[in-house]
Amino acid sequence: MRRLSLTGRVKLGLLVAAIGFGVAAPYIFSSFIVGLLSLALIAGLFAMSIDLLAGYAGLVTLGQAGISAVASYGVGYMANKVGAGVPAQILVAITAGLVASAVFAAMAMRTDGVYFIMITLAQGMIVWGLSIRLYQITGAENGLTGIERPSFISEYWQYYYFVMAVVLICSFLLFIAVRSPFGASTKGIRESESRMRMLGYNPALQKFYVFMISGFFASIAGILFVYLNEFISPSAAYISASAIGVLEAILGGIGTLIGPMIGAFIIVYIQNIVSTNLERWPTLMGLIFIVVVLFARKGIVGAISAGWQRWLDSRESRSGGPVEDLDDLPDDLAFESSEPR
Amino acid sequence: MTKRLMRVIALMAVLAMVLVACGTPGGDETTTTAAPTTTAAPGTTATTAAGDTTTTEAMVECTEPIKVGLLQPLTGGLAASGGDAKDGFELYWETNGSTAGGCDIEYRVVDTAGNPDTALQLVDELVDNYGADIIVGELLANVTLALADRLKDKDVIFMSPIGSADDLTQREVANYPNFTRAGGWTSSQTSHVLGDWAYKQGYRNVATICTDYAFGHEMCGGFTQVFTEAGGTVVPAQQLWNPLGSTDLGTYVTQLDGFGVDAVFALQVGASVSDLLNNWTNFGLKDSLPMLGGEVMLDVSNIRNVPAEQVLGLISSGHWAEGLEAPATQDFVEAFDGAFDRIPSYYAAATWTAAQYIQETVEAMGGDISDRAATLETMKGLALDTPFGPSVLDEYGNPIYDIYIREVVERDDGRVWNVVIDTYTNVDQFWPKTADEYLAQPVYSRDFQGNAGG
Repeated sequence: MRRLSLTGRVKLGLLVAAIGFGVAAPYIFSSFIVGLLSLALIAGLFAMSIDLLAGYAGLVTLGQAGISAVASYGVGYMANKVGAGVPAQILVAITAGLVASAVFAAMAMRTDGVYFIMITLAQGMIVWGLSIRLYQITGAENGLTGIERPSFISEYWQYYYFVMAVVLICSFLLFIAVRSPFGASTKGIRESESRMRMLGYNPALQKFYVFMISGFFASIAGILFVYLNEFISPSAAYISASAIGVLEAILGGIGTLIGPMIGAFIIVYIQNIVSTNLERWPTLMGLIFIVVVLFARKGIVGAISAGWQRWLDSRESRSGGPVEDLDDLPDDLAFESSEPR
Repeated sequence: MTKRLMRVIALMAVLAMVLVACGTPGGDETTTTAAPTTTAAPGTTATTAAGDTTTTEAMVECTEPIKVGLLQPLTGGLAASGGDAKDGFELYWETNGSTAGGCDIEYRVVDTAGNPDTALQLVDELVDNYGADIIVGELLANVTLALADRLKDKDVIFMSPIGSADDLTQREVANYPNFTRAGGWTSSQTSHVLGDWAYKQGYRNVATICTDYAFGHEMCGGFTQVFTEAGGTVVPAQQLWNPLGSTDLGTYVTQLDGFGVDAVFALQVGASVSDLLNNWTNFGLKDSLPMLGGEVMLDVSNIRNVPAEQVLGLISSGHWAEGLEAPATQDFVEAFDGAFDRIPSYYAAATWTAAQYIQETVEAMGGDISDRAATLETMKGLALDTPFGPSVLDEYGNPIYDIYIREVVERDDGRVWNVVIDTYTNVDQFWPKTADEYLAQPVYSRDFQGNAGG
């Protein structure tokens, strides 16, 4: 096996440290913090599913919360109104999420840019509108309660480990997806749709597939979310829920997988911890967004990796040693080559 | 080079803000451990005088303070109402001293932003970390329901002085053993009375316009059922439901004008209130078609923001009437007006009253509220003189109040408020039916308005 480059070693080290921290967390922190970590992991998965569309396919969606809410309502409906068991709840939830994704994808696959944003925005609002109207299914504003986690993950720390495992598996699957030929052709569509068509690809179909994959992971996030809160209400489908996901992706670094996760942790931190001490926490959040958009357009991860690359360059120019890392920088971190259109 | 410098500056700025944000745990204004005060302030309505507190203090050893968590939307669209609720709560403890039964009472206020998911995260913090004994709940019915469900198995008492979803103290009451509505109300409790009053005024045909969500369904249902069972007529097709948050109600107003009814029952919330009142005046209906308002619609929090001529003379019913000529009410109104320079809304009166219930209950329990069931029973046994008027709780934990028919008038200082023109005494949540009769029917919804005629 090839010896890992310095960048690779650092990344592996950080990943191991993060997982180690994650495993140790319930032994260190209170139940509240562990609950927030679960929430942040779920929000991160949700933001990653948005990033798959926004960062890799170049299709910014403002309706993703609609899809995850459909899955959440699937669980809630089966638990509250039907009284079915957990397997049936999850089966219905995933099916509902995928059906919604398929319908939405079919509507949106021939558009791009601002039109794609507008269509997905409308789709999300349709889900929100239905969740308020269909009282018999969704309980309208009152939402659905009576959702219970299965007994083996009923404790908050058990559920935390469960969430961590699921999110790790999903991240790994997403990692494989974006590095596969499929991921490459997705990025091709982002760069130039007409050129991909010339090369014999069908961009609309490709978008459909990406949308479906993204919708699948959004559904998983929706299911994890509803079991975390054991409650679902229309606010989960509202535009602000979708927008927060997009902002998390942008904040952390669009076009990377770790970026949305970092963005999610920051937002969850501000929303839940800073907000207890600072009444004007939305202002703080707004300021951070402005600063990031102005000065670090590729997000936190983009800024860090660019800084890291500069440090490597300057080290090499000082020592005159071999150019160790240039080829090794994985595609999903190579920002300089992926300027937005 | 400058670009890199800018980046460093930006990063430092973000870090600085984050550090400022979290560098003051407990030192901020929203986390308050109010020092015990012995000043008998003018707004004191509680029977506990400062002298009593010191005598009980000698008897009971209180090692831990009683902890109360208040969840309100302090940012977002409901910030004004949530801010009133926070102010009313804090003013009570400042005015009456934050001790009872020899114990210090401390509290923490957290911001839900009106989002049920955020509220659920924060309430875990309040219960598990802060160690709250009592949670005082939110403004929105849906958040209240979510909180009630989350808290039902926890070792706390959950009070909801504002969130008024009917079923929490009705059909679902058995599911929430640690829930009480002390200081609160059920949505339909006040509109029942208005249905009766409207019939007695000689109105026979009434149309309704209510916001299309649970609170609107319950308010409208309460009016419709009592009014139609008294002999009045509400044609189902003349019950209009506008979406939550609509701000162009002109088309609805022209429809209502065309129905040819004697009066209109209206319940709007938020920005829709001023829009409806504005259209009502602009279409010239203010003086020709009587409007009967649901409680929140003509609450002082709404009418203080619209031109006086649009609201003067409008009738509504409510458990809160800031113009009620009772000492407990006027003492509170003056204290609040003096502290915050505005007439208190029902949100402020509700959390003030909830605080009053807490202090009186802790006092009656001698400072030990670890037995939650016994504490709730004690609370049910109290008869308090609150800003709402006399208050006792029924066996379901919901207050029995005097409900007022209110009219908007102008005060000497030029501001508008609601004065009482008629009073229905001792109205419980089932009035005029018995509990058994009432609970046999479903909760009000768009499909069930209890309409005797149709």
